[in-house]
Amino acid sequence: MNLDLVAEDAVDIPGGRRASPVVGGLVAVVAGLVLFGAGLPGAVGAVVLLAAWWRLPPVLVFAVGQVVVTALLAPTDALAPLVGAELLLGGLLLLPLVRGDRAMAASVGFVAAAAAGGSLAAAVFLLSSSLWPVAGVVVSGLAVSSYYLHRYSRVRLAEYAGAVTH
Amino acid sequence: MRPTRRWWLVAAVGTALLAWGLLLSRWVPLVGAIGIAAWLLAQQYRFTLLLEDTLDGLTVEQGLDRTRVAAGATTPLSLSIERPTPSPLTLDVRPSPPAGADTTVATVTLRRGETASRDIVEATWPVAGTFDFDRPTLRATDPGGLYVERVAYGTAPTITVEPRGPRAIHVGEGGDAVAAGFGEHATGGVGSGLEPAEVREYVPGDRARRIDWKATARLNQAHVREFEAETDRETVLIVDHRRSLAVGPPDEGALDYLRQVALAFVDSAERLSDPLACITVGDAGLTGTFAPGTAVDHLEAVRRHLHGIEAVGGDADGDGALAAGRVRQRSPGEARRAAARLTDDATFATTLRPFLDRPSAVVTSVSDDPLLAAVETATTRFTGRPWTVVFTDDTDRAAVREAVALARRGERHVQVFLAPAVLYEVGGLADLDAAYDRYRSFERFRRELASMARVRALEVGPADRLDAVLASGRRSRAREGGGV
Repeated sequence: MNLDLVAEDAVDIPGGRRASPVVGGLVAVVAGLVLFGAGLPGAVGAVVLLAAWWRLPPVLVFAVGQVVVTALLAPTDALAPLVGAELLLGGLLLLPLVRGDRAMAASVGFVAAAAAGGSLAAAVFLLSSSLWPVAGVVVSGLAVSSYYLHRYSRVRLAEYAGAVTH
Repeated sequence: MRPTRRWWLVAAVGTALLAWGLLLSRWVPLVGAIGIAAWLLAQQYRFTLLLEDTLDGLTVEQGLDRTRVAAGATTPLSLSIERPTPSPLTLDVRPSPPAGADTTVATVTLRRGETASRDIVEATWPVAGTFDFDRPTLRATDPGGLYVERVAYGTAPTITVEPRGPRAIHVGEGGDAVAAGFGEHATGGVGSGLEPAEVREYVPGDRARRIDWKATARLNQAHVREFEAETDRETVLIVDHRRSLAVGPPDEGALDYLRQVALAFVDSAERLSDPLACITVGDAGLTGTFAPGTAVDHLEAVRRHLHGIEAVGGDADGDGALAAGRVRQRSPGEARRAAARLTDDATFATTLRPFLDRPSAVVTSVSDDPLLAAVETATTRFTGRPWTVVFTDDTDRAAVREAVALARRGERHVQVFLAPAVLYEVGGLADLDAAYDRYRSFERFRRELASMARVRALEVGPADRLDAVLASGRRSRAREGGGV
């Protein structure tokens, strides 16, 4: 996996790979929360998270983190560690956007999209009391928004290039 | 904008979280899926903005060092990318040469953070024509490797590839170019046609429908309108491509120049719907004979043949039998001298004398000179009064003289295009004074031919070389106060 997705503060790590110490810090905190919230099984989760940080880019570490949190924290009644872990995992996604070019626009875009998606999903869940419509909203929302951005970019590029090829 | 494999991988991870959440009926994995979806959208948005930033001020140029080249030439083809500030994205630019270019298409890459990149490859142009480049294809990849975009961007030059061969052809008389188009001819008469010629007074015998009523009313007397008569003039091209016409640089030799003029006649015949015949003659005899025709296929066949002839000795075609079975040519002078020797009244002399006394004796014999044989073929095969056009050089002036004399028999009009050898020889202009003397000799010969009735003789050569020779002559005259 190419580690371009790692933030620009990435450093060389053993094994010929690069990883961000800031991402590592976030992962370590999440691992601590998992350990705190889930007890002894949380140790396994913490190790898995740190290993993921070692080998994978942040977006996949985020996914692994979701699995760990779902498996170890969600069944417990510890709401605070769960919310904290989710927010920190969200930071993993935000970090590459904050550190790259056009950071402000990308970060605001991410937060806005996440907030809008989350709100819509919550509203749909409250109305339907089922996760299936929520899944439909997430998938269709991504498809429609992505297509809109695609069309937007074509219009903008046409002003410069006149023709967009595929 | 297209998602890459990496995008699909991330999307698959998000989908897996979504499916897992549905399977467990838990909302936490769905939150993860929403986060990944938002992250993908944010990356796409950022890529769109960066792409705009990148194209703003970007210059992509496909450059050629010239806009006209000769077929087969090789030109450098440069591709450059430039930005006033470091590029936010990595760009791969691929040139889009036309199909007529034989080149290696190399992609030029402007890496993120760089401001300029350039590459030069060689392009060969084997086919003549005008070729338009397409704009280069610019491929931008987002820093995360999730999206790519391809854009046609940059300059699209045009190149004209000219066929190899002579340029700046001079056709004229004594250094003065003739302005008339080759193959065009006036009928010299009036009759029925489309172009009005004159209005004349009505005479008994004129058909009533030819009366011009407006002129009649205006002039108070019956008048008829005459029109330019339209005729189809049969033209016979006799193109000499013997070894002597190989003189000159490759593709710009004497035959190449004469060929261009002959092809102009073919074009003119096609435009005017004139019947055109063609005979080509090499060292071994006739190498091609085309009967008069106006069909497009016929003219195209003549064109192809003219393009194909070379100034080297070759096998004669079926008509070469004429050359193969020829007898020794007897010139009119020789015939007269032979007749003078037959003074006795022996059977041999009385039998032979009428043939030698006949002025056309030389015409009826078959020459061993291929050019004369070609003219002989033209005069015997193509009856009527075709316009005979001969393309040859001045190396064998006696043969040319006889060929022209033979061609103009029977009230035929003849046009001779002569390639002066002095204008083609490599190194022939090393001594300009000597070249001018040779050109003067050629000019005397041309005038001699032109002085024959119904004959027009024109020189064909490279204009620049002729100008150099004539300029030398002017300098000589200025020194000596003389002239040609």
